[in-house]
Amino acid sequence: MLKVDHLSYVYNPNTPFRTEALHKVSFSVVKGETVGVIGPSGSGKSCLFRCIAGVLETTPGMIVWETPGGSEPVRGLVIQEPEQQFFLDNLLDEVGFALSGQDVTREEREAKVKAVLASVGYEGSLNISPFRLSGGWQRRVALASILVMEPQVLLLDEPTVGLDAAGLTAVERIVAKERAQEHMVFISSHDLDFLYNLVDRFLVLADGRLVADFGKHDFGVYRPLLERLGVGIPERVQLEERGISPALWEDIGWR
Amino acid sequence: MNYLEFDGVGFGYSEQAPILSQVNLTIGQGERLLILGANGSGKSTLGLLAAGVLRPTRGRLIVGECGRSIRRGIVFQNSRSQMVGASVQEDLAFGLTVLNRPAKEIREKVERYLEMFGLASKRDYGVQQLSGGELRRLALASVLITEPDLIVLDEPLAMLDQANQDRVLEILASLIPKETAVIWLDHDLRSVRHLPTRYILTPDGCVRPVTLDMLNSKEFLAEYGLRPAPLQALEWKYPHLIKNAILGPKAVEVNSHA
Repeated sequence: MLKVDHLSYVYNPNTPFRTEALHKVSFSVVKGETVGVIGPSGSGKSCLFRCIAGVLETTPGMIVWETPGGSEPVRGLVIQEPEQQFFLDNLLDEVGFALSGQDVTREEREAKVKAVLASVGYEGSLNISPFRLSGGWQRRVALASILVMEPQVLLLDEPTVGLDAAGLTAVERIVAKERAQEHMVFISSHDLDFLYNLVDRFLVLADGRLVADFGKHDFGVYRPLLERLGVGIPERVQLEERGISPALWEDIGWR
Repeated sequence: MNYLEFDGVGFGYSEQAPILSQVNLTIGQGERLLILGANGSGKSTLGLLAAGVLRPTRGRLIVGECGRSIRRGIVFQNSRSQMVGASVQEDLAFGLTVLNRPAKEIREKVERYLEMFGLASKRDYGVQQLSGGELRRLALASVLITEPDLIVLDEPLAMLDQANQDRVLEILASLIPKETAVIWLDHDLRSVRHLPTRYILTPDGCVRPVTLDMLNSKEFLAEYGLRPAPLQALEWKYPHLIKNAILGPKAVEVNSHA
């Protein structure tokens, strides 16, 4: 289980640009939960992800992992604009980079890289440069370079941008697989319809504060707040409000 | 008048792997086109050709008409990658500086665009300190300040929350002059709500016009690798219940269950 307790984070402390990105945020998440994190631009979503992933250093006690062995789980963060993290000139090295410190043979490494690229829908050569791929394919390769670490906690910051139908389906499949393995998944997205289908629960951030935490079927209840924040609501929720029964969604395979 | 004419245009980084093979497309004064396509179909390449960043490797791209050239601009999918100034106002001033405008005109115009795009309070901010919505507005402002005849928008609503999407749409509706031509590139079918003329990139690297009926066909979308708009799956299953799902909840006609 993850316990986030009064988490605050300040960017650029002691400068004129001091910004408190998170202010006393508290919640807990159990393993196997898929959580959607929403809120206006600049509300602290990415900062929260970075804190949970351990990329940003937080005060001890603010982020506590309660795991059987007491060790911190492997966390994988896919940042916004993940293609900016590429630095090697072929897919085998780029995606396999996270394995370089590990005790794996060349063959095992290549097999793992191939398998993880296949999971995002890439079946082509491992010899080409990630910089030569189109934007959508770069996104998928960046995702693969995180999945190769087999994280127990996966954080996806705006994973849908630039992805077409096949790319979105790949992301959905990956999230379903993580869920089946009882891994924790956090996803932030402005595409609420995409998110709604994947998550169990929503956390809403505004100005660095946690302003709502609810099960997804209560989305309609929070409509006034979400509209005031400029977050909007999923199209399917709007349709439910116009009398279309939620039972119909299951018929077409939506959660 | 015609601003751009793609005449059998092809482009590839190598001869063996052309990204675009045979694009025929004309865009004239004040026209607004949407070009849809899956990942890797060549949308961004088409945008870069239209903006003059790339040159065709085959065919002809005719720019302007009757000896009059046109000014072109592009807003990238990732706005951060087109920032050139250290601060918001420096970024805004860059295009005019390159065009050699007098300092007084630059100062006045930058001031006006800061106000128009809601960035006045952030003028001295570093571009890396802006939120996603502010960054997109700055990218739009920095291109529009040069008064281009043609502007290419690569997924202009991506990564924005609803309020910022509304804001960008408002800018596109009210701050782009009527005569300016717009090419909007997207893979999200919800973009069809905003543009009257729609094309699609085919898997073999060409461009063809599409109608709403085509975009409402499950088979068509599957063939072109596009994902249905959120409510379309429901419309396909219950056509008697909802109509026009592609145009969104505001346009959807919902019939009663009975």
